[in-house]
This record gives sequence, C-alpha cells and structure tokens, in this order.
Amino acid sequence: MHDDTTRPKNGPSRDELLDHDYDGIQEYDNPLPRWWVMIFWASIVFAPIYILFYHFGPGLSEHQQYERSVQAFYERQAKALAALGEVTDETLLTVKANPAMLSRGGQIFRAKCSPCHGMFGEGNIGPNLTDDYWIHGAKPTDIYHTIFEGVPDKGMLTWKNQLPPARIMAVAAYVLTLHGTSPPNPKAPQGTLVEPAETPVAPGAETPRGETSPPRTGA
Amino acid sequence: MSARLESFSYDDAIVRKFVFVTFFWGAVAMLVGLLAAIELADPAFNFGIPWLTFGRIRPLHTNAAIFAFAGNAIFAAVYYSTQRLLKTPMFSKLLSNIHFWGWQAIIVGAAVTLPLGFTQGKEYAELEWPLDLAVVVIWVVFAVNFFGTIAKRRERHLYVALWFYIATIITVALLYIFNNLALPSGWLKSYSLYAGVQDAFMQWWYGHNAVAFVLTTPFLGLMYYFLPKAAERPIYSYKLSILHFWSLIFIYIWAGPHHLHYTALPAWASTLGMLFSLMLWMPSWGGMLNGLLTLRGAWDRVAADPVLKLFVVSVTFYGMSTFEGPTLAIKSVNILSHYTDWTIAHVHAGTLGWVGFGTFAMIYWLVPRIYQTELWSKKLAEIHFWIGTLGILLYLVAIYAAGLTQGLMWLAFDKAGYLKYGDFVETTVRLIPMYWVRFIGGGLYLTGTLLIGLNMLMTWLRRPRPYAVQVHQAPALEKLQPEPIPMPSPLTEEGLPVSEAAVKLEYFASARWHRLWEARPVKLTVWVTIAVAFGSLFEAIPTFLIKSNVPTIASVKPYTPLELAGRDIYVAEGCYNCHSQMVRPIRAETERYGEYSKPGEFVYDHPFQWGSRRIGPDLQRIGGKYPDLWHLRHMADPRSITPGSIMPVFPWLLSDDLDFDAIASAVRAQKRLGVPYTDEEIASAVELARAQAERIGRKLDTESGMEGLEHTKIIALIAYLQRMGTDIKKPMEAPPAPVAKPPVQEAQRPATMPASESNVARAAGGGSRGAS
Repeated sequence: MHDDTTRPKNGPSRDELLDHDYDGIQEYDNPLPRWWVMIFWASIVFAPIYILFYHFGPGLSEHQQYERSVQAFYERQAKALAALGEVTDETLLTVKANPAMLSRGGQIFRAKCSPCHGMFGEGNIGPNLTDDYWIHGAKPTDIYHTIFEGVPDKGMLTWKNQLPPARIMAVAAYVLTLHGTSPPNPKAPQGTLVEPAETPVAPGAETPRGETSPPRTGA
Repeated sequence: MSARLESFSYDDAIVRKFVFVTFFWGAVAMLVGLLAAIELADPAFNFGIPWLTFGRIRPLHTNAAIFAFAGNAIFAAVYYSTQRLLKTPMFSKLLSNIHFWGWQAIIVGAAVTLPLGFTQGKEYAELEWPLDLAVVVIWVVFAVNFFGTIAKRRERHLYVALWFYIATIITVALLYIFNNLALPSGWLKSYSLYAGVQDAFMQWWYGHNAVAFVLTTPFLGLMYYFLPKAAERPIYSYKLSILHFWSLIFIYIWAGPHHLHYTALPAWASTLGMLFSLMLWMPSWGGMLNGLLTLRGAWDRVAADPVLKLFVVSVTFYGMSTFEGPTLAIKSVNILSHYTDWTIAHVHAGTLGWVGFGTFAMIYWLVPRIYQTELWSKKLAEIHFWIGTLGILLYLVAIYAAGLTQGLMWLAFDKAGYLKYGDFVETTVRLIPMYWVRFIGGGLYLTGTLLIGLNMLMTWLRRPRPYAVQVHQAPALEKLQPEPIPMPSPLTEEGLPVSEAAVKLEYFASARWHRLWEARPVKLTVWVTIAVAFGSLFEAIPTFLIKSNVPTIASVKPYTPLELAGRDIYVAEGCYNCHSQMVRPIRAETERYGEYSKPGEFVYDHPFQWGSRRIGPDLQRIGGKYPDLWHLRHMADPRSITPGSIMPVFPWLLSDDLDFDAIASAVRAQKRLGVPYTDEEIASAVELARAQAERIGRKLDTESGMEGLEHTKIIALIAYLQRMGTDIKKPMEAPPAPVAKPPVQEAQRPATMPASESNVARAAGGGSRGAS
C-alpha cells in the first residue's frame, strides 16, 4: 500500500527517511500536523485569557457563584413560606385531617425519620414518639419546629433545607397521629410528661392514621 | 569508522523474569479488583473478614495494578529495549537481579501489609515507610543500572523511547520521595510531614503524575520501541517526537491540582491545574499520532496480527483518555464528574485499554523472541484480544453510566429548589445493576489475562534448552566530536537577507539542535529534570509559603488523643476510599452535607483525608450530626440504619481492644510535626484518652445494652467522627459565616394568613395524588 492513500489531510507527509537507525527502527522527517499545532497554540493562548477573566476580571469566583445560588434559593424559600401562611396548631391539625397529606407525611416519615425513631415511631436512636413524654414540646407547632430547625446538639437533624415547609407540615401532622399508638418494642420514655389532655385534640378525632400504624389499643 | 568491532550479547534472562511477573501480578491485581467490584455490588462478599474489606483491598488493587502489573511491564520493556537501542548489555547483571528480586519483595510486602491495615492513608502512596524506603533503594539501583548502561553504550544517539525512560526514572524518584516524606511513630505507622491543604497538594501532584510518569511516559517509551518493531514501519515524525516529548513532560507536572477543583485548595492552583490540563491535550495526542500514523502502510497487517491489533486499541484508548482527561479537568465538568464513578471509568480506560493492551501487545511480540520458539497459539491470542476488548467495553459502559447517573442525581434539585434525592442511598441503589455489569466486564478482562498466561506457559514449555545466545557486534563509541548542525540559510528563497533573530528562530523551530542533545545524555537528563522541577516548584512554593492560602481559624484545635487514635483507625480501615471529607461550595453539597470546607479546618490533619470518591456520603460535617448510638449501630450493621447501603459491616471494631499505649507515641509524633499539644497533654495522653473513652463508652453501654465498649476501637472512631468538622461551629471563636443566610424564620413570621389546606397540599407536592 502506498502511503499517499493514508496521508493525513493537513500538513504534507513527505515521508523522507532520516539517517536514524536504532535497532532497525527508522524515523521519517515529517512535519507536525498543522491542526495539531493550531490546537496546541489555541490551548496556550486560552490560558492567559481565562486567568485575566476569572482572576482579575469580571468572572465570578466559585464562592461568588455559590453565594448567588444560595441567595436565590433563600429568596425562593422565603416566598414559598410567605405564600404558605403562618404555621399554627390549627393549620397543622387541618393537615392532620387530610388523608392525602397524612399519607404523604407517612411516606416521608418512613423514608427519613424511621432510621432513628423507628418504623412506627417506637423510638430507637431517637426518642419514642408514641408515648406521653416529650423533650421539645408536644404542641403541633412544637413538633413542626423541632423538625424544621432540628436539635443539632442532641442529634436531631435540621430539615428546613431538605424538605419544603409544606412537607414538614405533613410529617409533623403524621407524627401527631403516632401519639398514643402502641408499637412493638417501644423505647423507654424520655423528656417530660405532657398530660394527654394538654395535647390538642384534632377536630374530628377519628382522623385516619398512616396506613402502617398499628391499631391504637389504648388512650 | 575505523574503530574495532566489539562482541557482546544481550541479557534476556532478566526480561523473561520481568515478563513472567508482569503476567502474574497483573492477574493478581485484576483478581483483587474483581473482589473489590463484587463487594460494591453486594457488601456481603467481604465475608465479614477485616482484611478482605473494601477499604483495605482497594489500595491493594490500585497499588498492584500500578506498581506490580504496570511497573513490571515497564521494567520488562526497559530491560529489553534499552540493551538493543544502546547496543550493549545492561550495566550490571547483579544490579538487574537486585532490582528484580527487590521489587518483587516490595510487592509481597505490600500485599501483606495493606490488607492488614498498615497504610499512610494517601492514595497510591499507601505503603508504609519501611516499604517506601525499600522502593527508593530499588529505584536507585534501577537508575544506576540504566544510566550505567547509557554510559557504556555503543550507539551515539539516544532514541525517543530512552528519553521517555529517563523522564520516568527522574520524575518518579522526585514524586515518590517528596510525597512520602513522613514521620514514623512506630515500625509500620507514620504521619505525613504535610497537613491539610499542603498535603492534598503534594498528594495530587504525586497522584496525577504517577499516572503521567508510571502509566504514560514509560508506556510511550514502550510504544516507541515495540510498535515500529512490530509494524516494521518507520516512526511517522521525528519532529513530533521531540515536540510532544518536551511539551508533555513540562506541562504534565502542572496539572495535578485539577484533582482538587472546588476544594479548599486555593483557586489559583486549581486554575493552573485546569489550564495546563487543557494544554496537555495536544502533547498527549502527539504520542497517539506518532503511534497510529506509524501504522500507515501496515493497516492490512493489523487485521491479521494480534500484536498490532492490541497496539491499535491501546493507542486509541490513549487518545480517548487524554482527550477525556482535559475535559474532566475543566472546572464546570468537574462539578459533575468529581467524586463519581466517571473518574473510575476514566482511569480504567487508561489502565485496561492503554496500559493493559499495550503490555499484552509487548508480551505477545516478546514471547517468541525471549523463549526462542513460535508463539504456542496465535488463535488464543486473537481470542484474548476479543475477550479483553469486550471486557473493557462492558466495564466502561457500565461505569460511565454509573458515574453520570450518580453525578446527575447528586446535583438534582426539584422545582422548589430542594434536593431531589435527599438521601444519599437513593443514588447508591441506582448503581447496583451497573456494578454487576462492571463485575462481568472485569471478569472477562481477567479471563483474557489468564489466556495470555496459558499461551506464555505453553510457549515456554517448548523453548530450546539451553537458550541460544546470539552474539552481536558493534564498534565502541569514539570520543564525542562536535557534530556540525547546519544553520538555516541567512537568505530567503528569493535571495533576500533575513535578520539574525529570524535565523535563530528558524534554527530553534527546526529542532535540529535536538540531535546534539541526543548524543549528550547528561545534558538531556539535566533538562528533563529542569522541565519537571519547574512546574512543581512554581506551584509548590506558594502553596507552602503564602499564608493567605490557608487562613487561620482560631477555633480549630488539635484532636484529643482519643480522637487521634480514632483517626488512625479511620485511616487504617481505608474509610477515605469511599468517603470524602471535603464539602465543595456548591449548593447541592452544602444542602446535603452542611457548610462547605475551609482551608483552615485541616491544619492538624496529618495526613489529609479529603478522599477522591464518594461511594458513601461526604463525612466532613458528620460530627454531631447523629448521636453516638447511631454510629455504634451503623458501624455494626449499616443496613439496619440505612437499608440499601453498601457499606461493609465493621463488627470487629466493637470487639477489638483499642491499643491505648500506642496513643502516647502518636501524640508525640504529631507534636513533632507541629501540632501544638502541650507538654501535659503529651505526658497524660493515655489517661486523657482513657477518660474520654470512659465518658463515651459508659453512656453507650447504657443506651445500647452492651458492655465494656470503652475499651474498644469503636469508641475512638466515634470520638473522631463526632469531632469531625465541628470546630468551625464553636460559637465563641468561630469567624462570621461567609454566606449570610437570610432569616428564613422572619420570612415566615410576617405572614399572618393561616396556611390553608389547599395551598399546603399543593406545596407539599404529590400530596393530593395520595387521595382516593
């Protein structure tokens, strides 16, 4: 096969042999492919342009880009919260009365809360959520805020940036339904006793519970 | 030439030895890789045995692949080709054999110590200090043998393959020595001289250039000898050889920081890493071009010759990898690719494709020559080629898919701006099918490797006994006479005079002067050293000397003795192989893990543990995130907490006693490295550790119903995990957070309108779908 057929498009391959011979290996004196030289130069020229733009010019540093994205998110979140309205005991009880919301809250609870609080809220690494003892308050808004802000010192995670506020409301409402159930292997009580009477009763006490909650056997 | 002809013969026995161990360690490295692969598909495959756990065998796999498989392949190539290119046997048969046996002893040492958890905790630099010293001694033996051979050569000019060998020997020595500088605190335990940002810089200067000068330059040398020999064609372009050699070694050394984009490494270093990686594209492709274009006129033979076929695939993979490398080095691409399997796919395209197939091509070409009989089965070699190619393809398709999948899932936000896959494990379980395909691909590749072993064995069995010794003749070199290199004409073609500067420029561009260097190995070696030292020093000096690169954080304090012991366990178990400790300033990461990492947080981290792959989540902000009991349960059985997790179980940490007495020497060593422990802390290190272990252990005993936990390793590990990344949160001394978080609470307070059921349901997303 003659070399002409496979000659590279750019740059003439003269295929002149040099007088080099190393253990039978010879070398051609072909020039550098032109496209190769052009791209190499382009990659070199690009460097100072990039440095000038990003380190001495208008290009945003990675930290500036980060701050912008965080800012944008917080603005969005603030708007969402404002649109949602104030979270009160009453709104949470309304959510608790909504089967669809409770079902959603249950899904989230089983996916994200059960590793520490147990599949039925019986407690494991975290406290039991079915008994009458509460560490950070028993009111619906207390539960909402415990989830929203977390209790970092005690290992309760902060969820405000993991879950949209409405979903936290759904989880809080679901947690309300766990109270008073009798799951297997309950963890010993922690916190202070809150008399069941103090726990606000939902309007319409026969609200449906999460589908996997064991039946309530005593009040 | 009137010089008297001298007779000599080449030492092929040493080549036979290196070729055999190349196959042997290659098969071992791949087998260990296969074990690591199946453990990711199903963590039960470590069988609950500590020394088979992923964190311990992954370093064994990488070190074996790089230094045992590729390393011995390089030595086989160097010992065969150098003798012939220089028309002389090696400088010293004794040194050749010390090199061979010494290197194999080091490999055995590594294969024993790494699974036992003796490690420096830096990737591909895991070997502890006694083995490091042995590596340096053997490398010096190799260097003396190699340069001694050059000194007694009978060929005036050094061929391009030898330039690449020189660059390899010099640069690997520099990289290995300076990255491994460590202070021993025991016979098999040491702490890196550098901490945090500087340690990270040194490590990836080393790590990246290990790829450059162990997996690239020597294999280019290999290619430049064996490919034209096999193709029986001249090298396409001598000028390209010159230009791509010098640009490659000069530019490669700068590119290391591209492994640390968006980390606490200063931005200027990261930028240099990216820009030099882009510049590296064409110099790398110079090698590919010279390889593939050398095959012009031999393509008809490629179809029939397994050696050429393997070379074509090898060089093609080299071209693909060296295009992909600069792509991955672009910061905005790196956001997606970093910490994912994409990097794993990239490096396997390089090692399985370029290094592996290049090595197999060399072996198939060598076997008939060193065993002095025909290859036992060419057909089997063909099968090896196809089975290996299929193996690579399966491996790569699966792992590229895995990398992209996980990278995209980590970054995904839902419409409201919250992480779409908030639980890390959601992204893990998605990869499991791809991990199985990877396992099959790797299994095919190993099968191919066993086939070449069989072919070698059968050929060897049919060798002549004894081997024929071929005698060669060549004149000795005379004293070097200055060679006249014609300067370019001072006149243009039209006869007009040209300025002196233009003449000089043309002389330089013609590269004719390089011919003189090729006859002067010392000069060539000195310039190689300068080329690789320049970029290294340009980046290293400011990294070490400019204080503003690592702003001090007053609240960051040294680890307590117990935490330090826990950190040693973290290192020994190889946690860094799956977990990073580096949250990048990207919202998808700060939402998932917490505040991004600051350079000043790592000043007492000897060695740094930033990691390079997130098989599990980042751990920088794990401290205080979960209660101690969570960690206890999680280490004993990760799946009891996180169903679908592929983390191994670590039951032995709950039963093995912690060696409290070793803590004293660990603290003393850290103090010598500059960690400001007081004299009292050093004197009472053991008591301090026991007291802290008592506090944590007692509480855990009650909570877990277990007994005697305060004596076990798990307590130290939990102490370390709970400390990690917490110092900047300390209220009194913490600097103001650089990102002022808008008051979310206030945003919610002014709204007095009660949340209505409908807008909550709408905002909760999917809530209404559940209604029936």
